[in-house]
Amino acid sequence: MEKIRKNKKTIILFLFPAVILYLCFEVIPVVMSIYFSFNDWPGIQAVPLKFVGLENYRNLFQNAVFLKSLQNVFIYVIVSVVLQVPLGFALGLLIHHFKKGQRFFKAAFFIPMILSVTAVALLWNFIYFPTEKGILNSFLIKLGLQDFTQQWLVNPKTSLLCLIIVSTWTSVGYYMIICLAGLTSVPESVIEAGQLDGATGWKKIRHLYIPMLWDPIKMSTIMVITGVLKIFDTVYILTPTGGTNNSTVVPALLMYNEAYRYGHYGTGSAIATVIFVLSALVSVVSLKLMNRRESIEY
Amino acid sequence: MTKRKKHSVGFYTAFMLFVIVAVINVYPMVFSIFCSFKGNLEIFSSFTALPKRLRFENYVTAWEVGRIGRYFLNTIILAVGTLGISGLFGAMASYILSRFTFKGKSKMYLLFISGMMIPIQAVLIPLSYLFGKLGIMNNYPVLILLYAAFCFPMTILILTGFMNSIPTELEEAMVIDGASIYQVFYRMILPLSMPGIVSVSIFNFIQVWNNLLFPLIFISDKDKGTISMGLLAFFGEYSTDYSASMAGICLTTIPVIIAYVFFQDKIENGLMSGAIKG
Repeated sequence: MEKIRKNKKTIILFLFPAVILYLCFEVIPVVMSIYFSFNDWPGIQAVPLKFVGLENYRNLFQNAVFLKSLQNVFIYVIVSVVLQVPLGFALGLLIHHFKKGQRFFKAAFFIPMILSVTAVALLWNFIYFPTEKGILNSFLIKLGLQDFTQQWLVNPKTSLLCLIIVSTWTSVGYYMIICLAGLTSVPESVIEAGQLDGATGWKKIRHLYIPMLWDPIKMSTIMVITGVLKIFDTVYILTPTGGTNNSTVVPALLMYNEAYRYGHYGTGSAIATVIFVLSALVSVVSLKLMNRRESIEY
Repeated sequence: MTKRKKHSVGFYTAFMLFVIVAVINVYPMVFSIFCSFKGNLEIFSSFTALPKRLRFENYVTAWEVGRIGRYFLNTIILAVGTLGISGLFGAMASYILSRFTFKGKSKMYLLFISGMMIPIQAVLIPLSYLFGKLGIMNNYPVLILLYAAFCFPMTILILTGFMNSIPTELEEAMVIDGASIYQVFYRMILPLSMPGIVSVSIFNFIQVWNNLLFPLIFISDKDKGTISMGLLAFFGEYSTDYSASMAGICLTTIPVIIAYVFFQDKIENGLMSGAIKG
């Protein structure tokens, strides 16, 4: 058996398809993308790449729209983390103790997650519809809050928040599921022991559930951050040009527009590289944090 | 006694909260179904009112002019191909990474897993350059391989973990009985790993189903469009025909909801495994 487990032929044969696909479609393109970012290319096959060094990056960091996109995505990340993780885990904790109709509520909370992002964004387009017939606006009018009606996606003051709400609406159910999965590994006896020690209400959450669910909480936070850093679909569908005064422009949208709308493939690659470096940094830092925790455990 | 009372207050508060969140979540689907049966003037007089009569012709428009059925089928073809490739090749690689010993094994595992932090934007421009050069735009086999490559990190993470929990004694017994390692893989490891493969495939299916960027860039032929880009294009071209657009949206959301109702536990477990192992 030992001999079989070291057989080079088997190892190569079994690994080959996955490795070759992974190299061709992920590893090599990422390296190429970094190389592209030091070049100028208009997207026409006949025109060769022109090496320009760091010029794309220099232009990028002097470009007000790009800086605005970084600012927007940071706001997006922070608000999303603050909204999605606590809301998802609160729902998870509540529904865990709630036996009646659990399946129905779980389904209702979770369904937005499995609908296609395009369908979700188009639906919200009607909710945010700018006239007084729009669903949100007509609802406000019914409540007698005419003064609060808005052109939600047009007004630069509200547009980014509107997009964040769509993302939150879609994802909260997912973090609820992660919380429920984490809870299955929390022994009932520990919670009961804590209750006997007088832990109730907020104390119970603060001193029992949060420490015991720390791993899934951390996981979810990383997932929100890396997910939002590359966010494209929702923003592109609801505000294709990045909103009034670039109020909703994010790096991934800017990258798409620069490369595929204006043919600035070098600039596009530079933005792609910035997104990649940012999410790699976040992932590596958080993986480091997790490994440290694990080493304490064993 | 007092404890019981406290519990019931919490119970009703939670119940109210659940009802509010459930209404917020389900309402967009309800009004899209209402609107899909209305005429355009009716929609503009009010998005939220009940339809005066059921206009099924909106669905006919969405199906025939919007070609939602076609896009639906295309996406299913892409997804099934992707799941087949990522499931089989992913299981093969996971088997080696879980059971065999060779130099650089842990590095190779890490290389696969770190793929999870590669955003798809990082590969778009080089791939459109290469695909253009090689003339392989609008090519489903190539797209399936591309999607599968992006499924490998999660697939290998889950399946390696899953296979680690299968006892090795079974394999040894099979080998002693004269089976080759390939027979061990196909007749034992693959069937025993099925629950893991199903879970991760559900996770991967949602990724393929939702992907908008890849088809937006690598598919220019409308006949080959996917549901996400098809719906968007239909909405763009028929932006004045809201009722048909709504019917199109319903045609894509309702089958997913029905599938979810039937496979609720499987789908939730699939997404959980993706989250917890990561």
